[in-house]
Amino acid sequence: MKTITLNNVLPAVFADTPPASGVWLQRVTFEAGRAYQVASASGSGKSTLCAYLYGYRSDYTGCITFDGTDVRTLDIDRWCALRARHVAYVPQDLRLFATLTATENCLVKNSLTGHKSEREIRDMLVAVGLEDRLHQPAGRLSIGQQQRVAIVRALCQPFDFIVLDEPVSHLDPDTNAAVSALIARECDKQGAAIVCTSVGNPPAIDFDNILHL
Amino acid sequence: MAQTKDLVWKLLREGISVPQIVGYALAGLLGLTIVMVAAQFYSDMRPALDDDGDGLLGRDYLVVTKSVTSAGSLLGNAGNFSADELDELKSQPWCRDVGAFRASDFSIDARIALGTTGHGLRTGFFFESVDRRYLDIDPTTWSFDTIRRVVPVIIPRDYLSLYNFGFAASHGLPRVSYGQVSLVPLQFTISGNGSMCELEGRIVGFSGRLNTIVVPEEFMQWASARYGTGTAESPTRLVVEVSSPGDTQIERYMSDHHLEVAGDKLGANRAAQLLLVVSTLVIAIGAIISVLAFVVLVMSIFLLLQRNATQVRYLLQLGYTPRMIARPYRRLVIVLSVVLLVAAVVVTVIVRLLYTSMLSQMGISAGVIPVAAIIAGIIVVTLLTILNINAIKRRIDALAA
Repeated sequence: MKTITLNNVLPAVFADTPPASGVWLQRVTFEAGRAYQVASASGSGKSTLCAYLYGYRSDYTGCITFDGTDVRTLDIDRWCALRARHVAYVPQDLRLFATLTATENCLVKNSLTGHKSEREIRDMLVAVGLEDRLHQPAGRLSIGQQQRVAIVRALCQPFDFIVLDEPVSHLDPDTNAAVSALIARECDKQGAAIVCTSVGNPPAIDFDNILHL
Repeated sequence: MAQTKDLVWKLLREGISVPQIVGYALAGLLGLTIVMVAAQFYSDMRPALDDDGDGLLGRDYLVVTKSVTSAGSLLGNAGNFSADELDELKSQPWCRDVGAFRASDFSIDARIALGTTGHGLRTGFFFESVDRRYLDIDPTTWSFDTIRRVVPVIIPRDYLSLYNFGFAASHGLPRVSYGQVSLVPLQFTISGNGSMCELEGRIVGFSGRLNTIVVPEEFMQWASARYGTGTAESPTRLVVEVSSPGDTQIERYMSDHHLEVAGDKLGANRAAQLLLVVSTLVIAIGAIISVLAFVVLVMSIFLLLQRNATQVRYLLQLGYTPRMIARPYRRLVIVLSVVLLVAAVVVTVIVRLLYTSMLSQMGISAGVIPVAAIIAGIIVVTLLTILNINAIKRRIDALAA
């Protein structure tokens, strides 16, 4: 997948009072291989945008296309295939399985894609500072640790776009740097685009474009 | 890979209620067993009450003779039916058709060798023939050719009972089954018109409808032509096809015309209908219990899916398809169904063993494998499994929407 295009998209919640935005009601194209930061204040629809791009919400007017295909025409099986092979996602609320360990949470995704070896998964978790949390249930990790598990899990698949919803909001600068380096390396390797939202604490990545939502 | 697949099942089975599953299994076993035992019981009992195999709800046949009275006997009245009497019978509204038995008009002597003990039976004999369509069984060989000269014979079921429970019991001889009897060789000596011949006979079936010894019409014609006296012109016994043997008009007609109906045909038919009603009722009760058990399982799985709705949504967002998520639940349902079916078959076999000993005393043979029960069980289980899997699929699709 090469491009994601938003054409005149407006969330239903803003239908009565359309905000001045660099994304809503605009024509915006995300291209594979580039890094985009979507910056804004809280409540302007960052997570909503991510939900649209990941296909679990469609309460908007306008049109979103993947390589020219209107995503409204995609059925659940097609979305599942896209989520397994083309679009990776780190949601703001992380959505880890609390009863599974940090490693198992990554394995659940990896068993679907077969993208990484268990050794590679372990190395990634160690690289983001979770070497002593590998076998701890996710429910007993701090939010910052959970963010890192969710990021490693998102990297356990092939992708053309990775959508990150405030992925480092609970990380200190050193951990942010380690996580950002890992994301950038994987994106380079896959020639993928980064679409990352932030409220002022973005990953330490060289973004090609900064859009104001 | 196996380990990671287990991870998905580990997530999806969270909140599974063992008591609910056990409850389903027990209720399902009860319902299924009732359906299967009732179906099997009906299948086993029906031949006993419905000898004709076609008379439960549709046509039925009565074998009719004239009453034998003391006066008639003294006057030498043979009890033959005249052409007028036949016509009158045919004109009755409840009468569909009338077939006449043709009695043998030659002398027959029969011999039966019983095992290697030297015991045997030798007796004077008689034959009757009737159109093949009035037979209640369909013997594989029902013809007579003058070259091989083997006479196929159908005898009443009651004769075997008489032998088994009367003669064999009092003479210390073994009881024999229908299958064994058909292997017993018979020897007939037919004589008349100053000549005689030896013929081999073979019992090819047992009739519950025809209370006589029946041979093919072509044999009767052949034998009568050679050895017959030519006296058996008008029939003494008739087989009457009626629309409903329970009809009181028939009883009244028979009584008014001094006719007798062989056997307790009317009572047997009522018993067969009663068996059908009772079996249907029991099967219905079993089916209702099975459906309730099915509802318990569906509700348990719905509840499980509701509890695990978050996990299911997260898995969908990771890229697991609804089909992949449904798979472990589908497997659970199939495994439960198979276990249930096997358990129900085992229970049915045990229950059947308890009643087949009684049936065999009544002269009803039942096979080893409870075919009717297994067919009924497979139908019920397959139906409920398909419904269950479909319900699970729709529930997960709803969560995916």
